[in-house]
Amino acid sequence: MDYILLDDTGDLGIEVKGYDFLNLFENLGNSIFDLIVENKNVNISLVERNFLVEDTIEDLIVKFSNRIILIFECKKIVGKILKVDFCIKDNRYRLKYKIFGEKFDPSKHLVRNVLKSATYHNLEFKDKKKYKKIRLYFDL
Amino acid sequence: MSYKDFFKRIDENKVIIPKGSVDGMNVDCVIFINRELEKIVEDDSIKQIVNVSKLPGIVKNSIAMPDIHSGYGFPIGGVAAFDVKTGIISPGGVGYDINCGVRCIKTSLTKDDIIGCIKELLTKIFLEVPSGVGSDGNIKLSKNDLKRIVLKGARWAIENGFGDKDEIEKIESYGCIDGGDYECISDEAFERGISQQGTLGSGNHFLEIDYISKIFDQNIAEKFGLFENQIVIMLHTGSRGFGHQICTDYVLSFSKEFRKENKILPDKQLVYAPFSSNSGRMYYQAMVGAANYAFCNRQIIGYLIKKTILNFFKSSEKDLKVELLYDVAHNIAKIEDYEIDGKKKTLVVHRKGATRSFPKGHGELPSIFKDTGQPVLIPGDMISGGYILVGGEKSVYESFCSTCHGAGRTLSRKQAIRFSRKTDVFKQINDSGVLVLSQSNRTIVEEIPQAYKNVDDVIETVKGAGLSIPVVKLLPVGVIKG
Repeated sequence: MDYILLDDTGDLGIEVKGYDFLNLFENLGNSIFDLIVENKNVNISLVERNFLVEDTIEDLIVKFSNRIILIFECKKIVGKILKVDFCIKDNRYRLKYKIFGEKFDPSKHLVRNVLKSATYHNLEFKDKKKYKKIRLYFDL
Repeated sequence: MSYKDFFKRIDENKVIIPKGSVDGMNVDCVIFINRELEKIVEDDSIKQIVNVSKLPGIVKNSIAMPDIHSGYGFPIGGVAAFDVKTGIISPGGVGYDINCGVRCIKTSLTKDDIIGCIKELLTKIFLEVPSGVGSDGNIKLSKNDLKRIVLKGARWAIENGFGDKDEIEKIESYGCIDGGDYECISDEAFERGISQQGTLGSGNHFLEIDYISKIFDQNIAEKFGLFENQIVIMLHTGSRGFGHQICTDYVLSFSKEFRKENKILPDKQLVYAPFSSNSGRMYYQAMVGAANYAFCNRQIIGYLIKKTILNFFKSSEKDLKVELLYDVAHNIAKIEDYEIDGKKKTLVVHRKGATRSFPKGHGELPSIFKDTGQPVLIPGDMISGGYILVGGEKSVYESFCSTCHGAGRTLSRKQAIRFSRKTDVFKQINDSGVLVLSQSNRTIVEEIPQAYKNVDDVIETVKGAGLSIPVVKLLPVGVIKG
């Protein structure tokens, strides 16, 4: 999985890159699932889909990340592959996502981290010519 | 340039950063810290306490406890009070785990009674109290039950058979803060909270079997019913996903309001709303709901622990005492009255990683603690153990009746893991004689003693400053890490 772990007193951060918004959000979602459980033992037997609309890219990043935490915690779903559609319409950031994965099985899925919330703490979004980058911290 | 360069040492336990040292400060910063802890305090956390001093309506000082370390918005170990009419309320001043707190259960057992069976006893409790990753409780609740918990806190637990009526006065705010409103809480929060009552959770949450290794104040110890070698249980947990979701929701909604008003903050996690505004009121009512959820959670776990110990020793309540000593919050905003410049003011006191520390005679204390002050429960790391203290009189005018909440981290989780690669931490824990159980070895590694400050330094500082006074020292014999 293509992300870098960042240090922070107490908690945990990641740096994720993508060559466009689609790639960025797919990498972000896949990275968060990989932070939660080891990806290699996850199979695909279900699809979870929904959409989010926010006023800023930062809000969308935080909301989307928290949505994944919620999907794991409440629906007990672990993702293998994540696909998104992204657009900016009427100055609002719109994200449709599909998570391909399966129900969490503690006997099969090795849990790496218990993420409780994605935060705005030192949140960074960089929109460069060749890539886009997010630095995001989680409360554990 | 370091923020520590602004420090002006007042005495052995206190430094200040005077108002004006940094642009925008409304009040002085007061940091309770001795010279040893000053050497290791992070600059980021000092910057955060300076940022707090810039918030509107802050009263008297922006305060930090000796276990200060950087948090989200406010530092952990931060205390700040705001006028309810002109001041603000901030989710970052409470923290994600709303009403994270500590409960202490005292027993009539001694160290000798359990030393031969600690493994069996700890395992039994480990099986009875769900902990670890996404742990769901054995208590099935409906959404209506959860709504009632938002309104009633620990009282809901007792009404439903999880404990005794007389325990209520041994819980901060009698286990229920007035003003919780489930209409201010999102469906997502209910979704996260519905299956987690009666669960410990993960991360730094724990359940510890300790014995009293030293008594500092015999008189107060006797009044608290504590004696040398006595077994006590310390429990550290909070409002689980329910509180986290409420904090997440309101940080997002306050951020949107800030953008509309073009307000700029030094840190996005410091978002706030005027306490008297509709948004401020809604956050407060949701936060109270989560605080009540946490009081209920610790009440249920306390009941499960008591039941397990009685069953384990095949004893009745007559033969074996397993009683609540006290239950405190250390991530919360409370409405309290203080005399400021000779006038009584109603304030919203934010304690984030700080424990209430009411001294003897305080009007809000129940009669059982009126002539002692409230018990203050301070855990340390899993080997060094913690302390039970009592509220100190100086806390009233020095820290809005607040004191420290623990040892405070010095290493990040990632650094702790890195440190553990060089040292055999499991051997160290084994050699210490403390039995540690966890759903995950990773949690143990993240929570190694080296990841924390020396709790003795923290306690010396709050004692020296008169914020709280040590009563007994605790040493662990068995620990369940979440």
